[in-house]
Amino acid sequence: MPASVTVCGAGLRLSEVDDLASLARRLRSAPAPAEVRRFAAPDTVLAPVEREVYGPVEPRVPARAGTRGLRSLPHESLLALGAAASTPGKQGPDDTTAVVWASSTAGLPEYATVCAEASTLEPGFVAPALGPASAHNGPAATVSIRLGLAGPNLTLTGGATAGISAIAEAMRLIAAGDARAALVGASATVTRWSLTAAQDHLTPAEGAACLVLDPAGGSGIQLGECHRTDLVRATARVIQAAARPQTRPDGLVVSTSDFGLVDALASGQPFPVWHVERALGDLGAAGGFLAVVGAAALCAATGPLAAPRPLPDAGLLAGPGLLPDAGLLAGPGLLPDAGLLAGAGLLAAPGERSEPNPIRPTKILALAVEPCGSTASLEVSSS
Amino acid sequence: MDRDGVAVSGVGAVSPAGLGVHALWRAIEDRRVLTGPVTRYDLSGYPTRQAAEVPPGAVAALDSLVPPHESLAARYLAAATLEALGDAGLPAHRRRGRLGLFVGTVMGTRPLLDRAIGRGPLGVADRAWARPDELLAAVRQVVTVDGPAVLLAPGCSAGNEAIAAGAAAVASGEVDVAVCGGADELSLEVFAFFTSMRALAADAIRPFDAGRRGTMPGEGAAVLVLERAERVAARGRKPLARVLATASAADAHNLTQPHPDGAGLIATIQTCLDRARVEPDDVDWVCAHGTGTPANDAVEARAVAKALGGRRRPVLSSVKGQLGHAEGAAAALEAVIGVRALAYDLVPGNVTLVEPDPECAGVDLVEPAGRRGPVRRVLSQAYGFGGAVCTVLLGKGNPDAR
Amino acid sequence: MPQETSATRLRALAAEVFDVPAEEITDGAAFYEDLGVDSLQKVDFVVRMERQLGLKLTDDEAAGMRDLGGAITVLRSRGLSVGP
Repeated sequence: MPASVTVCGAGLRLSEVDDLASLARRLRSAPAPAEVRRFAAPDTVLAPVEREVYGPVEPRVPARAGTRGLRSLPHESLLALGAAASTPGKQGPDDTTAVVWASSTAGLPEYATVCAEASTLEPGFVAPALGPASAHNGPAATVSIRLGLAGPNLTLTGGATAGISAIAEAMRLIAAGDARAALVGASATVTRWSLTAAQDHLTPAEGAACLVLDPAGGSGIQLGECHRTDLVRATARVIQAAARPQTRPDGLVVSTSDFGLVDALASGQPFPVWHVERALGDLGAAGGFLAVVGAAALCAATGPLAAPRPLPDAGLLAGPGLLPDAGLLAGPGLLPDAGLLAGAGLLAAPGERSEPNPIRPTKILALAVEPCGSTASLEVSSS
Repeated sequence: MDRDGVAVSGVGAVSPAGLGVHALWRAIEDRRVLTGPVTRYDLSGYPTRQAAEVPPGAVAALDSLVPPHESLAARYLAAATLEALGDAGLPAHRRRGRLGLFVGTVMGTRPLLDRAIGRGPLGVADRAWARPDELLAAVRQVVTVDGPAVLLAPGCSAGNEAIAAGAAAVASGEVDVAVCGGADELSLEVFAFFTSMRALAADAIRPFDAGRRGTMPGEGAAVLVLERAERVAARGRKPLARVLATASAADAHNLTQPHPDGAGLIATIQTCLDRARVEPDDVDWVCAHGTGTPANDAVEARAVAKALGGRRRPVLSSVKGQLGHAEGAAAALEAVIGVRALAYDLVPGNVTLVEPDPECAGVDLVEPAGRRGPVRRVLSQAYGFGGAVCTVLLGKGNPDAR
Repeated sequence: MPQETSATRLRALAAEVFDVPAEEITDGAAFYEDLGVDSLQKVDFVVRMERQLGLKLTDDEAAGMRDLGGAITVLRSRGLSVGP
């Protein structure tokens, strides 16, 4: 794995989020109201249900991805394509950019529809076009084929850690030389089928997001220091990092279905903690990916601030002792200024204040935690 | 990865031959064709009713080996993992270094939904079919995972992608032990849409045969335990084989058709040879993807002939005529067979081959009996719907035995 | 089960499945070579036609449908009445 990669572009297709700045705002704000939608699964015993969800989201596929054949593509593949094709960059025919995608839901409605058709139609009358789309890899395949990216094509599934593992695997493919660069993304859709496994305390959400990762160093948002381990070790890492000014992050973005865990992680920390599922809803594997995109958005909102800025209140805000309520900042509605707090100099520890250049890169950790205890984390920084 | 690669210290398998690698290798040696009439689902009304199933007796025997779970694939995976860790001499729970899980699948837990296919509206019982992470639930109960738990679903290259990801994690030091493999269970959904696609063979899968008519689904799980060779030696054991190189690419061409020139496959084969610093003639067996569909095999044979153009034609066979196409488990099963081929110096034959397709003349199709002779390197390739390609080069456990 | 259909209906189905304007689907326009259809779209067209008409085509009949004219010929050979 290379030490780090640079984020060269981002594409977003999310409810009520247009760009990285609005993603950062959304993470810092109280949860937005969700829309009640009705979901049905024809030809099955499943009764229609009404549920508050974040969505629907329009794919808005740019012309770059071509137009013919779009209408036969699954909605989730279209969301992925919309996000991917809106990133900058024109690839040549032999482009070895990797496409690495994470999703818990891709192909699920197609799989279920084939089953329903097989249950109600004669053998051989099942729509064949649904079949290949009923596996998990529709989004990655669609992006690779439509954008002509001949690098490795990888799909990860599972829970929230898959969204961060996707970035780790993309970094591995770049380091090995299999890929020149990587288009990494994640997506989720809400259907009557996905709702059978939805958790009551979360708002299901649909959407897609992607990042273009390049190994070349340079200024901008950097991703590095990926760790995939169990919850005990991951928590220990956060606590250890927080204990020392040199390693202390300026914030933590967590993707988990466990609100209590987020409260526990936030308690006593000298930095704010943001919660993906609270702000954006349940996106499955894409939640872990959005922890990284969210961290990048928060870095971008505060970080490229590499230029020195006046720090009138730095002294007041700096230092763990002066932020007794930092944990509370993670509470609902209490985060209006959290982004400001994450600003480079504003969280400088007392020991650092005497340094000639108090500006250091903003560093925000992204962490995904699954109910089984698997975790993945990544360090997002601006330089 | 250095030139000697990453060591394979243990293998495990659940296959249409039954439980265990021994049963699998015996079936390969004995040239048994394991496809036959499907018993798990009612396929009356279907024009073809053949697949390769894990036998009912083996499924029942899982009860005494692994925890209960609705997903057969999850239980196949747990059983193969326990066998592989035991084979490697590693405890499943006690401290044995950082362990990561790298698992490939195509359909994962979704086939749970198939059981409700009947006549009339589809019944829907449990919810694990909508939870892909449930595929790892049974293995998590029997093995402590303190490193990455990665579930890869890139299409039918899944098993090889899992080996590639795990080998890299061992080489980089992210994990000490990588449990890599693939798992899928027989899916009636797949059977149904393959029927509509007219892609199913009626009597037998005949890869590279002039009369090949299609493929058949299979199922199972296979696991390889990967470690640094020093770790294996420190336990007083010898590596079974080595992962010399892996390479990934994509055709970026079409959802269901391979690139007409096999561009992605050629690229991954050449990259594997470059990385391992070996010549085309150093490859003793190409374990083909060889699905037996008219569209695949000629393209694959031409691509292999081009990528491995040396003094001799590449020696190639597909085990899918015996095992069916186990989707996410296919490449992992083939890698386990590759490990045994290296150990026993046997190149498995194209068991169902009757009349070699003249379009495949660029490769040396192994006769059904197979070939005894030194097997020092095995190249195994996998790809599928979506266009992802992943190729793995395996070598003997003792690197001096080149 | 309808035992008759029309070229217009079949053309509309092909236009929908192949995502091309109906007027491009002439009797002689080859699905693969002229219309840029892939094998999955072709088999999708065949199955949807089978569903509409309630009949099963053999593999050889399906393979013989290389263009709309070919499809009509196969259907007529199965005793269906195909109008303009």
